[in-house]
Amino acid sequence: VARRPTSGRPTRGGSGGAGGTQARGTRCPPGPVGDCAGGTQAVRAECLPGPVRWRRRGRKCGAFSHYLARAMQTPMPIPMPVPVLRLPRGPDGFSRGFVPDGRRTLPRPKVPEVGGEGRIQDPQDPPELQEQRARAALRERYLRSLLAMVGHPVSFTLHEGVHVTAQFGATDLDVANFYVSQLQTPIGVQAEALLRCSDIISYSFKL
Amino acid sequence: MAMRQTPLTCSGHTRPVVDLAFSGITPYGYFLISACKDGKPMLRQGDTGDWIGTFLGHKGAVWGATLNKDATKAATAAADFTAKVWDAVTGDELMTLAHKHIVKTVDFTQDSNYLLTGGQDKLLRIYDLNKPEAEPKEISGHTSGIKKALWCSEDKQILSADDKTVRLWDHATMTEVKSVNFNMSVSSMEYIPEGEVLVLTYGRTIAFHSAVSLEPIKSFEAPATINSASLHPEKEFLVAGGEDFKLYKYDYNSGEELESYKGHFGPIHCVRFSPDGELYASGSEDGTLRLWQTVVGKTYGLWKCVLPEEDSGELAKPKGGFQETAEEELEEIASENSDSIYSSTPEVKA
Repeated sequence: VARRPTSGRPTRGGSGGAGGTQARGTRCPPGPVGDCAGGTQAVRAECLPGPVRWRRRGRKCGAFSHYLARAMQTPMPIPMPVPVLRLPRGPDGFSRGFVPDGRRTLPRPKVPEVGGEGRIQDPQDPPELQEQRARAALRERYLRSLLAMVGHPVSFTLHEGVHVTAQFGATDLDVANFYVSQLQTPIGVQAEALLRCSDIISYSFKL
Repeated sequence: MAMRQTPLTCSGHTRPVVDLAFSGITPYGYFLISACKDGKPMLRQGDTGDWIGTFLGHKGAVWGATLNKDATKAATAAADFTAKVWDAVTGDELMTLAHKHIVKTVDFTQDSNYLLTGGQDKLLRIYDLNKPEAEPKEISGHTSGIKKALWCSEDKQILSADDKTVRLWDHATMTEVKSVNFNMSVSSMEYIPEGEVLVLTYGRTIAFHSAVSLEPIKSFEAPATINSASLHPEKEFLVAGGEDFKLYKYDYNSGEELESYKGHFGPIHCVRFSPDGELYASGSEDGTLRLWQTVVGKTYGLWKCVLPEEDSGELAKPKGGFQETAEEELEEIASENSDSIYSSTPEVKA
């Protein structure tokens, strides 16, 4: 029974699938070892290899044809390595780190609670940050107001003193158009319509 | 669709990594400190493994390292007979606490007011961090070098492990409450406040005891000598690593071995779950730390979930399954097979 070659390499690779530059032949040598053909999780775990180069051992023909025969009979899933965005950053090599503009200057944004704006307001924040926070809060409120409007009757004030009401459906991404239904116009009811944002002066609805 | 664990390797240390600890969850995320025999403990972002800084100052191997709950302070225990307290935001050394022998273990109380140390001088010491000039309180009783000392029961008690015993002490009276003997050397100890669980490893055994009574709850045997184990915050899994370079993941309730991973090039000295349980970190003789996903394939930190492709033929192609092989190997494998082999295996799909 062929033994799975073990790597005696010093610390280098083995970081996994990202980029694939360091790792070598991580494919588990199949066939002769036999335990890969199972496919149960525990058995598969046994086969999960470190960086092992099996192809260069000169046994490829025998092992591979055996594998092919097995694969045709008992096909096994080929596990995909989990993709990574990048590798963890290492030391910069010239300083001890702890850069002032590093991770600690901005706290992670808290997930906004539904209906609330609980956010840590730090009075020490520079004015730009406070302004950005305010902008973000106002934008969020506006978007939530649009969500709240869905399905409700809304009255629009258009140019030339025209007032119409309709049932609000949605807006597009840039809030350039309002999709409405049952639009009550002076000349009749329009089942579905798009109102241009540039035509609207104001709109209101009851919560 | 089966996904294979991609460990993230954190490099930077030049000697074995002997201890690691996570902070609590802070508004800035959570952090990881690693103790290394090269004397230069490092602070990393907990969910990505990105290096933040190195604490410079120790003159010997660092045997133990810990962070306080909000990751504002770090403490390290070293072979230069000192324990040091650091500002974990700036990296500056705040205090050097002189000992009479190698210091092995350090632990902050929840409020970061006190530091517990233990080492080869067989004494437990409690330092008041608000009074750095004052002498520490000392607790004696251990008959061999202390390997690990932890606060427990809301800092009212202390757990300490030496070579063959684990002892429970009362903080206020500084006296021993209980002790347990073992036949084999205790290699690691972890305390889980929720549920008052103590995780101990000795030989190939991973044992769970009550932190209050020290009574055994359950234990599992691993295939190899285990150096460290950690219990998931929700107590669903535990991970352990040791002398065979592999990491094992067990179901805590059934004891079933769920997964095992190779990847390290040397014995694993320490393994810990992150405070949110989404990943675990392992430190090894090979000088690296690796981060492993608890749920393989989930999008978290640097790991990015990829939805399976529609076309099963796509996935069956060598490129999809052999992403990690070097370019020339890909071509060689492709030329060896005919396409029909792969496309005829219906199981190889999303």
